[in-house]
Amino acid sequence: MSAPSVTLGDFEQLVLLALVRLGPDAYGATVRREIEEHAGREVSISAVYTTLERLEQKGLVRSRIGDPTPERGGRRRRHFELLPLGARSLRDAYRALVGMAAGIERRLKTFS
Amino acid sequence: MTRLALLVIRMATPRREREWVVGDTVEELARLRDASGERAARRWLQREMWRVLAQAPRHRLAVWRGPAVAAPEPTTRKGDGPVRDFFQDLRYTLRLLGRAPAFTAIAVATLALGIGANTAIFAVVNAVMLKPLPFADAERLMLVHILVPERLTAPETARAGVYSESVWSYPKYRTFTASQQVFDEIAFFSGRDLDLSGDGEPQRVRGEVVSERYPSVLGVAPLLGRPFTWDEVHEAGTPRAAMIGHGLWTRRFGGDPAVVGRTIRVNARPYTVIGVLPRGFRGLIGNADLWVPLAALEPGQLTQQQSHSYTIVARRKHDVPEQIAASAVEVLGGQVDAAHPRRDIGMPEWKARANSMYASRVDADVRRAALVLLGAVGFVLLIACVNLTNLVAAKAMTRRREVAVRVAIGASRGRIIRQFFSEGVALSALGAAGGLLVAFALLGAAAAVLPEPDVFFRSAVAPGTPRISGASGLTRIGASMIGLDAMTFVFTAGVALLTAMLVSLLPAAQASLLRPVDALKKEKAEGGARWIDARAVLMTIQIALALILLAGAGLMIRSAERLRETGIGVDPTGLFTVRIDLPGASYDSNRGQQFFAQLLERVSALPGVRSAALGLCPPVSGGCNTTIAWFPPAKEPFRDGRDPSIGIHTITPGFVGTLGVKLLRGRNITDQDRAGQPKVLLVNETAARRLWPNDDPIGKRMWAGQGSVGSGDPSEVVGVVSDVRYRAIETVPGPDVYVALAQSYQARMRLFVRSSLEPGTLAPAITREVRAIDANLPLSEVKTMDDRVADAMWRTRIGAWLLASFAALALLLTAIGIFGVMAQAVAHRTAEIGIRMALGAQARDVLGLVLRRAAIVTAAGLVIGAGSALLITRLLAALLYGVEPGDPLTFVSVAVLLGVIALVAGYIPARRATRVDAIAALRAE
Repeated sequence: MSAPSVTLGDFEQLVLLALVRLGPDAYGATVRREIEEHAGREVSISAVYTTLERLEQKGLVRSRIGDPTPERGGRRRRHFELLPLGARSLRDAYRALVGMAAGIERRLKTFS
Repeated sequence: MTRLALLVIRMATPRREREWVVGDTVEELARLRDASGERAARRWLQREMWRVLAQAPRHRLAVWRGPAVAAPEPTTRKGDGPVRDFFQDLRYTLRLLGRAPAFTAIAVATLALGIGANTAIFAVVNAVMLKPLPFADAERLMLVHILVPERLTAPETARAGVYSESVWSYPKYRTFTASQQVFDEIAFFSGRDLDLSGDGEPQRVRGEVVSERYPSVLGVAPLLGRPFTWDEVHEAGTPRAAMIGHGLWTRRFGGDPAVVGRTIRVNARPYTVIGVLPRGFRGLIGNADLWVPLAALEPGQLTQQQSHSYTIVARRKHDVPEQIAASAVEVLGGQVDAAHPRRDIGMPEWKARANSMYASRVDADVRRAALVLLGAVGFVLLIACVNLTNLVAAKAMTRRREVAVRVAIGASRGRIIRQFFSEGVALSALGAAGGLLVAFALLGAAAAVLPEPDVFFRSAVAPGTPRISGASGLTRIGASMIGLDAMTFVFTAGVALLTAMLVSLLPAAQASLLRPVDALKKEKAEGGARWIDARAVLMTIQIALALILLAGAGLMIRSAERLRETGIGVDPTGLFTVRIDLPGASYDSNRGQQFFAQLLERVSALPGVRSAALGLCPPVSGGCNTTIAWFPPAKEPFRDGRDPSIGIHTITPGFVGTLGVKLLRGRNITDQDRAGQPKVLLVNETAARRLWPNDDPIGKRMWAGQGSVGSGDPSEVVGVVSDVRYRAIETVPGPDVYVALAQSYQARMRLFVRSSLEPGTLAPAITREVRAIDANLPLSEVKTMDDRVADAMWRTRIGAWLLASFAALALLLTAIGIFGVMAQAVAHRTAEIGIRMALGAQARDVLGLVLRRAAIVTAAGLVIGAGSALLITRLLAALLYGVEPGDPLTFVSVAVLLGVIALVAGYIPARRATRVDAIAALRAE
C-alpha cells in the first residue's frame, strides 16, 4: 500500500516548488519572488500566505515564527517548511505532469 | 502615497496575518528600492495594493471557510462556476447591505410597498377571473340563456336588433331538455329571498329554487342526506323538502347531524330537511344558504309558459366540443320559441344561447376595473424601481474604482454585471418577503372594510354596458376564493425578479462601460457625463408615470363628486327603509291589506316619527318592476317608435310626502282610493312627457301590466309627480306610474319612515311593532336612505379611493426621487458652486443654474405624461360619470400640482447648496 498523497491545485504546486527551491527559511515574500521570477505569475503576498496556511491545515507544510527585524518595523517573520506528505504530493504532481507531457514536449514548446 | 497603500493593505488583510504580511510587504519594498530604485518600488507597491483589494473579499471568504473548500485562485479567471460565484456574491452583498442599514431599510420598504400592492391586486384578479372554478369538470359547464330583444330588459338604452341574455320559464325548460342531445346533465336554478322560521328567530335568507340535478351537475354532493328527487321538483303536492348549507347548519342548527329529518318553516310552510350541502358551497348565485325544489316553493310556475325566472346550467358530453353545443342550442332556441307562443306585440322572435361558464365569469365593467387597477399599481412599482435604481447607482458610483480594478485584472464584464444583479436580487428578495406581508395586511383590511359584497354587483356602472347573465354570482364565488395562494407566490417571485433586473440594469451598465483608467482618476472626474443623462431620462419617465396616475385619480374623484351631487329625486335625510314580505301561505290579499294598514298606523304613532308609508321599491336600488302600458280605446301599447315599457310602483298615500317627492299637478292618491272605487294612478314627469307629449295627462286613462291595473276598466291619471331615480344614481329616470296599494295588492313592500330618531332606536321600535302584529314575520334590508345611496355609489367611491391612494404614493415616491437626485447632483458640483459664489455670483443665479436642468426635465415629464394620459384615460371612460376622460380642469390641476411638488423637491437641496461656505467646499476638494 503506497504512502498517502494529496492532489494539488496548480497554484499550490507552484508554492511547494518554491519551498523546495528556497529550503526551510522560506517565507511569504521570498516565495512570492520565486514564483514571479520563475513562473512569471504576479500574485500578492497575502495570496501566498492563504495558500500556505491551507497547505499547513492539510498537513503538507509546517510553519514557525521567526525573529523580528528592524527592516520590517519590528515585525516577525513566518517561515514555512515542506513536510513528507507535501513532498510526496509534489512528487506525484510532477510525475503526472511529466508523464502527460512525455513525447510532446516539442509541440508544447511551439504552442503560440 | 506609500503610506496610504500600506494602510490599505493593512486594512484588507485579516488581523491575525497582518504581522507577517505587512512585514513582508515592507521588506520587499525596501529590497526593491535598493535593487531597482524608488520608482520601481513604488510601482510594485501600488500594484500590490490593487491585487490585495481585488482579492480581499474572496480571501476573507476562503479564510473564514477553512480547509474544506479548494484553494481560491489568486487571480480571477473565466469559467469560475457561475452559480458558486453567484452565491458568493449574494453572501457578500448581504453583508454589504447589513453594513448600510439606512439604505437597505429605505430600499426594502419601498419595494415591499410596491410589490405588496401588486400582489394584493393580483390576488383579487386571480381569484375572480383566473382561478379554476370549484366545480367538477368546470370547463364543460355551460350556462344556457334565452335571448330577448333588448327593448324588453333595458328600455331606456335599448338598441334595435340587439338581444340580451335572460332566463327561462319552466315549460320552456322542459321543452329544451326533452329535445337536447349535447348535454349529459342539465339543471336550473334561480335566486330567491326566503323566510326561515319556526326553529328560532325568524330570519331572511338567500336561497335558490332548483331542479333535481342541482348541484350534482356541478359535481357537488350533499354532506349529509340526499339531493332532491324528480317528484319533489316536478310534481306539485309532493311533501316539501329542503337542503340547507353548511353555514346555516352550523349557525342555526349547531351542526347537529340529526338535522336531517327535522321540519323547518320556509315562507310559512313546513319543509323537511333532507340534506346538508358541503362547506363553501353557496350556489351559483354565490350567497345561498337554503335550497328548495320548484314544485314545493312555486307550484304555480309549473304551468306558466311566459313566466321567466330560471337559469339553466348544463354539462356538455365528453365528446361534444363547445362550438357544437353552442350551435345546437341556437337551433333549439328557435324551436322552443315556436313551441310556446307569446302574446306578441310586434317583437322579433326570441332565441337561445349557451356560454361556457368560464366565459361568463366577469362582466365587462369588472374586467375593465381589474385592468385599470393592475395598470395603476404596476405604474407605482415602476416609479419605485426608478427611485431604487438611482439609490443603487449612487452607491455603485462610490465603488467604481473597485469595479475598474477588477476589470483591469481580468474579471469579465459578465462577472461584474452578475455582482450587481446579485445586489438587485438581494434587495428584491427582501422586498418581496415584505411585500407578501403588505399584501396580506391589505387584503385583510379590505375584507374588514367592505360592505356586503352584494352591493358591489347590484347596479350597472355604465348604463348600456351589456350584463353577462350569471356573472355576478360567479364573481361572488370568485371573490370568496381570494387569498395568497401558489399562483400569487409565483406572481410575486416573478415581479421580484423583474424588479431585480430593472434595478441592477443601469448601475451594472454604467459600471461595466467605464474605462478603468477613467475610474482610477480623481474622485470627481467627469467620466459621469453619460451617467447624468440616463438619470434625466429616468426622472422624466417617473414624472410622466406619476402624472398619468394623478390624472386618473383626479378623474375618478371628480366622478364621485358628480355622483354625490346628483339628485335622486327624494330627500334622504332621516329616511329609513325596511323590507317586508308577507308569505302567501298565511296572507291572502285581504289579510295583507289589513296588516299593512295596521302597521302604518302603529309606526306613524311612534314618538319621533313624522310620517310613514309603503312603496314597492326603494330609490337607487337597481330598479323595480317594469311592465307594458296600454291605452284605450283599443288597448294598444304605446307606439311611435318608442318602447312601451314603464315602471310600476305600488304605494300608499303617504309615499309622496314621506319621501319628499313633489306633486307637480293634480292630486295625490288618498285613502278614498280603495278597492271598489275607480282605479287611479299617478305618473312621473318623464311618463307625462313621453306618453302625452303635448297634452295634460290629468284625466287620461291607461292600463299597466297584468293584474288589477291591467284589466277591467282603465285607471285614471289623477296627478303628476317629480322623477325619482330607482335604478342607479347615474341612470336617467324612465317613465313610472304609481298605483294605490289598496287597489292593487302586493305581498312584498317596503316601509319608509321619516323621523328624527337614530337608526339604533328606530329599527328596534319598528321591529317591535311588526312583531306585535305577527311574531313570525322577518324583516330585511333594514337601512337608512343614506346607506342606500352610499351603497349605490360604492363602486365609484372605492375606485376613486384606490386610484387616489396609488397616485398619492406615486407622488411621494417621485418627490423623494427628485430630492435624492438633486441632492446628489448638487453635491457633485459643490466645488463649482463654491467657486462661483466666491467670485461674486448671487444665490439666485446659482439656484437658477442648478434648477434649470431640473425644470427642463420636469417640463418634459409633464408634457409626455399629459400626452400619454390623454390616451390612457380613455380606458376609464366607462367608469366615469359626468366627467370626460380628457377633462381639461382635472389635467391642468394635477399637472400644476405635480410640477410644483417636483420643483419644490428640487429646490430644497439646491438652496442648501448655496449656503455652503465657498472656502470650505474648495478645501474639502
